[in-house]
Amino acid sequence: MLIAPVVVCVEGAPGTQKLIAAGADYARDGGRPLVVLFLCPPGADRSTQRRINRSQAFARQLGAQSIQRSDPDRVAGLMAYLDAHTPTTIVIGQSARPGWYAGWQERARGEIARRFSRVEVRAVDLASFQKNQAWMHQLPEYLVCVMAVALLTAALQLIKSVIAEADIMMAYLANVLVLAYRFSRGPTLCAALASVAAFDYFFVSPFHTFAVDHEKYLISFAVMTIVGFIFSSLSERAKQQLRESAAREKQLAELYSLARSLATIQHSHELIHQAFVNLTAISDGEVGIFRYDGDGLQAVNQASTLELSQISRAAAGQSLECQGEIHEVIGDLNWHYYPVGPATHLILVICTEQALDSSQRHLLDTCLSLVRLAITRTSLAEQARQAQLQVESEQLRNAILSAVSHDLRTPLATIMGLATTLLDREVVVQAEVTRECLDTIYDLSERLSQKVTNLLQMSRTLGGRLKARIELHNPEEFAGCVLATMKHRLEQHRVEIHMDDTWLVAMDPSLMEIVMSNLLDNAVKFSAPQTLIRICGQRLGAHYRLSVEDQGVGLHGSDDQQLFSHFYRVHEEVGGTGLGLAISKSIVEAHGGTILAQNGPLGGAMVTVTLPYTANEFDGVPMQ
Amino acid sequence: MTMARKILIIEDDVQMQRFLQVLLTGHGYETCCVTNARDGILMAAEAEPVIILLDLGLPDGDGLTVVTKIREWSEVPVVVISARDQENDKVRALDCGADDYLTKPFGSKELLARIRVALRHVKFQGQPQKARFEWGDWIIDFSQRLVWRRGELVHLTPTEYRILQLLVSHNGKVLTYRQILKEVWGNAHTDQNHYVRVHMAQLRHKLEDNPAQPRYLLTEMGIGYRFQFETPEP
Repeated sequence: MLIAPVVVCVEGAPGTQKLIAAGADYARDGGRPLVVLFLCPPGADRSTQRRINRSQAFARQLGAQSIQRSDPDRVAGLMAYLDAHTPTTIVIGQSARPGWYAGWQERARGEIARRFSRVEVRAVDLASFQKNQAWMHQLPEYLVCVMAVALLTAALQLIKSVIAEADIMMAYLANVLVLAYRFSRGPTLCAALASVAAFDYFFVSPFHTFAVDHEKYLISFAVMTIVGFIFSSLSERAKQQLRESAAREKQLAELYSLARSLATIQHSHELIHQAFVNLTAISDGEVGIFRYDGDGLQAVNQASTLELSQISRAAAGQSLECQGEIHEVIGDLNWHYYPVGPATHLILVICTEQALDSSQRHLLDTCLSLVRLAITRTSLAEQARQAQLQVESEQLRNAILSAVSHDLRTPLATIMGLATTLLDREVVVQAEVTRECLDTIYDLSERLSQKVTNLLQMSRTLGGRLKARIELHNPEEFAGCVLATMKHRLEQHRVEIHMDDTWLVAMDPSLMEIVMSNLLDNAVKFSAPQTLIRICGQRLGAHYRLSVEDQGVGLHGSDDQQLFSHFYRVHEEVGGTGLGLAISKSIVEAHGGTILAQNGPLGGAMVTVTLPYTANEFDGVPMQ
Repeated sequence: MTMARKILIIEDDVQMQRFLQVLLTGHGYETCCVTNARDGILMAAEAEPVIILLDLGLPDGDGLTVVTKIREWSEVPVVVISARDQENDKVRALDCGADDYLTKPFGSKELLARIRVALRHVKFQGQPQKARFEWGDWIIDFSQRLVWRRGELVHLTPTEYRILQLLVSHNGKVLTYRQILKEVWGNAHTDQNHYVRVHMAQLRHKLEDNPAQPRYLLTEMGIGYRFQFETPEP
């Protein structure tokens, strides 16, 4: 079954990358694929086009599929996409404009709610990225204020005969107060002045002219203007504070999400990638992390869109040297260089169209200190891990030496003994005994060969060279191959295979062959001849489960921890190095899978290997 | 047999060489031994062997260069015998033009079987491709591009047919995924090994009695496929 993707709808306005990053968060939380839908009507200006290109690159780095539609009406384009595909979650921007002057996003939300009630819509606030459109944004507010004054004037005109002049003035002030509460300073002030003008024109004799009979009105006008001005300032300040605290809250949320994601990371390269994703979202520009060690500059995060050739070595060096930000303006782009940590030689480069403002700088500084802390933490953790590994490998080396001396020498001694006996001319050996001796020699050397392979593999594992070369393989074919190589060993047993063969499984066949042959070898070792060994392969959701069952002695309550540890043997009297399951475990783990031993339904042991990824056999394979 | 059955052994370990000599002369082959790459290339030209057994770790150079050199002028089958057991070593040797690869330690039966297969491959190569190829339950008619199994026409897709034709025409030789991809899909898809696996699985289900344990369309795990119209056991 296909997992429904998270679809992010963007138009290429400022804040696009932020929106994509938010979508990526949702997709990651749900373990779902990400699709970025670019709704870009033809005729975009240069800076929008550049933003679109950059955002597409960013989406690609996050592993998202990006789709571009150039319908003249964005909402129609989105609806056409929804008709053709059936995503369950849509991420869309949300602007703070009033309802009747809404952007296409609000319209799209309405349409989706009407036509696709099962699609979940998540809105991401874009207000902070639309500062540069303030005047456009406020134009409707001015209109509303002037209309309100006009309406009030009309109403007052009707009831002028029954109320006093002071009441009229109060009504105007009340109106200004209400408007100040709702709108920003400019429109409110405009309303106050309009109120004064209307009062003068309609309600102060001589009527229908701005001329004034009596000086006493001048004070009224002045008071009305001043009160309007104060109202607007006060309310503007309150709103400013609200905006600031909202921005602070958002920054805190961003820092929190960065801190949370950094805290769970164990390796420095993952850490750098995570920092890259978060910093890209925060700065809404192009971000790259580079290593500069005096003479060479190299990209650390492969995902960046910044080219190495664009980076100024001088600025990078200078920034590392003074441990501070360097800001360069080249053409219409701003380049910011930040040192990541004093000892790391890492430089964070941010390229934006508008210079970073002080709050963005402040946020970046805080983020960087979080990243620095995390880098220190991971490097300490890595050192500790190294030390631990060294101790373990020392112990293991000793154990291997003793195992080698015992388990290789014993069969070797037998082989030598038999061979010398056969060579000895003085000993008369019957033909059938000779045959038997030769059989034993062959048998023992075959087993020795298996042990050597195991030991070799173990040393590769310990040397940290165990790297699975994972490709998609057909499990049926794989099992067939393992059985073909083990034919000689398995000839005393009945072997059954049940594989559902319609899937490809991601694995390294040469490593998994070691696992399978160890499991089969154990099954043979611990069960009587002529008993059944059953191999099953089954797809379970996105996993593939391979199991080997026998009718042997079973596990006798040995726990998993013991079974899969190096040199542990269930039965001392049965030969073996005690490495088979330990090696199998490290191989399966290198595939990201799990291995489990338990008593199975056939009455003996059952070992189950679960590998994490399977694909439909026909995924992307051209069939003709 | 009238044809000289001389086998060239390029192997630096004297005991291994001796073992191969004893085994092969015991089975009626003539042998000729050298211990380094330079002599190996010279002897390959001079002695005109029908088959070459080649060890990869030679004192004066890599065995792979020997294969590459020999392939410049000769199609004589080269069977690599080596202690290197990593897949990419095998794939590299086969891509260089070796016909088969055997990992040390190996049993004598297995070696003899591989030699027989390689020799049959030569015989097969020498003849112009027949219009009709028959073995066991199968009949392939190359002129009509049709395949029968037990007298019943088997429907193959064009890709399956191309793979089958490729494997059959290289009877006995291991073809790597890359070689098959290149022949069937062209140069653009040489890293899409799973394409081949999917089509091979289909092909086996259509042609083999027991697809999990095939008799003719054999898998060399992680390396490629080979077609073998007789099992190696004598």
